[in-house]
Amino acid sequence: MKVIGLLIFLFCIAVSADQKVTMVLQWEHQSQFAGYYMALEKGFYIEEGLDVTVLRGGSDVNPFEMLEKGKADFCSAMLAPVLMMSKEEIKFCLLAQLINSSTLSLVAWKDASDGSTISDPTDLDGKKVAIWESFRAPYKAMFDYYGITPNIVPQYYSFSLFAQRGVDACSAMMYNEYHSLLQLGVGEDEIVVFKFNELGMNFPEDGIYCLKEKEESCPEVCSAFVRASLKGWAYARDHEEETLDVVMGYIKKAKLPTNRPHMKWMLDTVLEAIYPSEGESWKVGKLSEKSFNESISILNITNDISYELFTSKEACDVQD
Amino acid sequence: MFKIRASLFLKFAFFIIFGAGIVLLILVKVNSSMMREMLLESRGDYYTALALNAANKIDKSFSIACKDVDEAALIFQNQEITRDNATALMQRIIKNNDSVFGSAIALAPDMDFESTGYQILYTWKDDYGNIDMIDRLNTLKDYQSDWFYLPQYLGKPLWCELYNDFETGMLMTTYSVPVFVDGKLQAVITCDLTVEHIDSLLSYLNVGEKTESILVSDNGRFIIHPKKEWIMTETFYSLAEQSENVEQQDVLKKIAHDIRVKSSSLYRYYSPSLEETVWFYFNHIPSTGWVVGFIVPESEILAPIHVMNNKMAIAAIFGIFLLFIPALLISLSITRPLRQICHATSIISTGDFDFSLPHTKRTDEIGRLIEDFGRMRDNLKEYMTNLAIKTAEKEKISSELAIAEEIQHSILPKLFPPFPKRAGLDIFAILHSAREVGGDLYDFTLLDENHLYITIGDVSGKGVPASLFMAVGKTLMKSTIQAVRDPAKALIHVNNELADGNDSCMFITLFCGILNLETNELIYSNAGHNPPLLVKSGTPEFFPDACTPPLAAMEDIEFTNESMFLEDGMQLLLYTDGVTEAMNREEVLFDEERLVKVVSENPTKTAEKRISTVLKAIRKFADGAEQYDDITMLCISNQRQQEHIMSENSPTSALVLTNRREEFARIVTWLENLSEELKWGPGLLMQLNLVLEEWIVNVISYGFPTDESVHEIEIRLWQSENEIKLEVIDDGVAFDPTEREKPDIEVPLEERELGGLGIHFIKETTDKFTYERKGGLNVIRMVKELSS
Repeated sequence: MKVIGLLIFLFCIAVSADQKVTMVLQWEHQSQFAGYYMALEKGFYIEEGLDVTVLRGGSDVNPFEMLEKGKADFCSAMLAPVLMMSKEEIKFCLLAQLINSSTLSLVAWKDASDGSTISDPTDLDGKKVAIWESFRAPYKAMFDYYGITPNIVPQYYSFSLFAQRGVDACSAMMYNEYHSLLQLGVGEDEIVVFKFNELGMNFPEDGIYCLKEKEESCPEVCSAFVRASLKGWAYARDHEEETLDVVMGYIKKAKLPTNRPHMKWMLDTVLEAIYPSEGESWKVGKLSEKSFNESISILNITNDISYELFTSKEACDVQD
Repeated sequence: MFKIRASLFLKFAFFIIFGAGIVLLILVKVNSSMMREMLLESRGDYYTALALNAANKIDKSFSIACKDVDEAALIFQNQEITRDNATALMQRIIKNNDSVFGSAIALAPDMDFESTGYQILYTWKDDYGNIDMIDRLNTLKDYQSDWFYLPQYLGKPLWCELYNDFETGMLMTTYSVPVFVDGKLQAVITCDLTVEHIDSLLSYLNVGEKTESILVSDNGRFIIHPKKEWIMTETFYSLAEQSENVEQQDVLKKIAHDIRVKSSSLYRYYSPSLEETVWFYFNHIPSTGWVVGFIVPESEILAPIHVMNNKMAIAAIFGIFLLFIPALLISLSITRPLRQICHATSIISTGDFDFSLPHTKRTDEIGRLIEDFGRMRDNLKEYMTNLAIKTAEKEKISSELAIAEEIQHSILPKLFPPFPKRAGLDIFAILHSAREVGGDLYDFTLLDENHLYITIGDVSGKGVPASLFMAVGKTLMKSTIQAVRDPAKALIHVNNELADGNDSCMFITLFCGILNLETNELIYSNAGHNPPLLVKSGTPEFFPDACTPPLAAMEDIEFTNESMFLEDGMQLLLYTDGVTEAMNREEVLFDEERLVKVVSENPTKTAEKRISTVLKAIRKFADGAEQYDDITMLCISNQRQQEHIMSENSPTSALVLTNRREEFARIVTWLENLSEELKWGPGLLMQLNLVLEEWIVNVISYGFPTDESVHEIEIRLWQSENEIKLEVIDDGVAFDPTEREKPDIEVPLEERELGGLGIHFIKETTDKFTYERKGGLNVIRMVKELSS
């Protein structure tokens, strides 16, 4: 008996050549994470010797907590909240900066509830505006820049308040809420959009993170994971329909209330923010020190956070 | 017959049916499109009303639930906040409403939960009908959910978006009422309605089989839809995004926009779910801001049209078939009589006029046609009968006229030469009537051995009357002159005879003369006739004009005799006005001048040739114009017996004759006279006779193969001491008899060439036989040596 048990144990060790890792997403399944799905689907992780499990995120999931508790190895997260958490101590390491261009925006009704017209950010002064808590800092920076003080209301998981005209403006990600508004039947001519990347407040968003210790102890695994993930993203960029099929598979399985055109919009917008086009200076998967510093200043972080420590070898852009 | 029937009959029937068919088709089409409008309107109204009705029903159901929660909120406001109170309130809400699934009371986050005993309580009905209750665990999430945070910030009750409750997993909508006390939020009280409940509300509605009832949330998502996979995922806008048809896209986007802002409307577009053209009618549900709608396939709305069209088509086809009968009858009523008329026509056209036409009492066009046709047939019949009679009469007259012509011509002397025994007397005459019988006459006869009576005349008028008068006149003249032997006397007598009882007022112009053949003196009298022409060498001369009127005009006219001498070789040409008044196409007359010209330009030696020449000239002049008057000519010349000189140069005697066999008798007489005078032996006479006969016959027979005109043959005889020389001159085809081979006498007659023997005989009989072709004339010379 014991001999058999020992043999099985040895056998398991022998066959488990692939490293088992877990990735937890920052929200529910959607094409915002298409690259990871495709890397999984196409076996890019396997090629790198990784046996990856992708876990969903959501309002009930705290990816950082899962990393800290060891329930996940990697997570997808936005730069801003991580920076906020890194004020005292750098607990997390950025392995790859995916979204380098800001997709944050403020959407306002052209005709405000008090009868005036909103066409410029300055028109928002004194109006009721719903803002995501986690982005309070960038929005505040924007308000300060235009010298306005709108009446801020919290925005949680829906923009119903905005749709029901409870507020005159609300937060929207260009790849998500904006298109949802359109799908609701709101005409493009009824609203005005203030995009952060057009207002000169272009700071990066989604990236792959892991515990700093992890990065220090098994950098090869991290690199492998990043490599495969980037390959997955490249594949998604080049095979849109196939990617959408895979994403819709996840959607249907999770019974999420969204549809293919919305996923397509999301994918297209996210890809634009990952891969630079003519005239854009970032490098795919890398966070430039300049953007790093800009983000810190927008967030009004006075503490010193080391760029070199924050970013991994792959994520840091030495050219800057 | 069948052909007519096939084309007209079928054409008729076809056109009637075709026309009716077109009319029916138009009617069906018009009816169809009117019906379409009506149906769309009426069904549209129905579904619009139905949508309103459904909206109201749903609203009512919601309102009842709302009312309960509103009441509960009021009670809550005035109650102590305890767990038991809360429980009681929630239970009240649930129990009062079958449609309510669950209810919650959520205290504001800043309340003192220790004293209240709860934070967020939730009560619901489970599958078994029991009421369960729990304390909500994830209160943070609840506070961040729309059902709490919206009324919190909007400060008013509202229905929130449909969602899948994470704890129960059900698709539901929540009505939340915020409770404010002194401007501060105390709690939010809610009730939940499930979609199943709403579904049941819609299921009672009476809609078409293919019609889809749908419910759309205020976020545009389908809440109720036949396509289950679209529930909570798709919106009208997302459907538009997935459409490949621009038109469809536009309509769907418009609907997506309109259901947010309009209370009701209707649209027509191509449905992606049903894949056909549909009408969409919707209505807002006031309380929740949702939209209830009906997607009705146009084919369903217009289905009755198809039914109606089919029925109408059947009726139309039936109608057309029925139409066939009157069409047939009408067609038949026209084509049958036409056919009969056709048949009758073909029979009548063969001459059977008694064939009866179809009998009819009709007074319409066909009836009139038959009537008229009958009349035409009768007229034709009469006409044909008359024509037959007239034709028969005409033929009778015609045949009688032919006989009359024969008789008339038989009383004129026609045999030429009339006196072959008088070799020197050359007479020829012609009478060409304009009609079968005519009024011209001529006559000659020997009164005795030395006196010749000649006459020419013209009765006024033409045809039978003139011919009868002519016969009378000619006969009377002949018998009278034979009795009185005096031209003037004869005329006086005949004139009186004819004038007496001449009711018809006809008259005869007449020239009458007696020629003394020995002296060549001509005694003549002219009763108004054209003066004869004397042809001599030099210019021809006319006799003086007649100074006495024609015969039979008046009685007791004094006719007188004139006289003149007809010299040897002179020709006397008697003619009627048919010659001088012959007209050509331009109605120009031949006239005396032309006659003189013809005569002087064409010297002839025989009377026949003379007349022939003039006649040819007249015919040529007339150039095909109709002959109006009888053309009559009589030509005479007399060569008296004279002494014949025996000379080497000038011929002893000459004779000219024409190329007719009858003329040959003159040669015989001529030779006989010569023989007597020149004392030839009978052998010589016979030889000369035979030789000349042989040769002349040859010439006459073969010399003029190509024409029928008159040709003259001149014979000259020289008598010298030791020989007789004969010369025969003719203008026929060149023929050299001396070249002819000796005929093979051994060969049988039938195989020998014609004429060969004759010439052989001449050669044998004569001592010299020569031929010369000179100036278009054949000149034969024969010499007979005289034995002493």
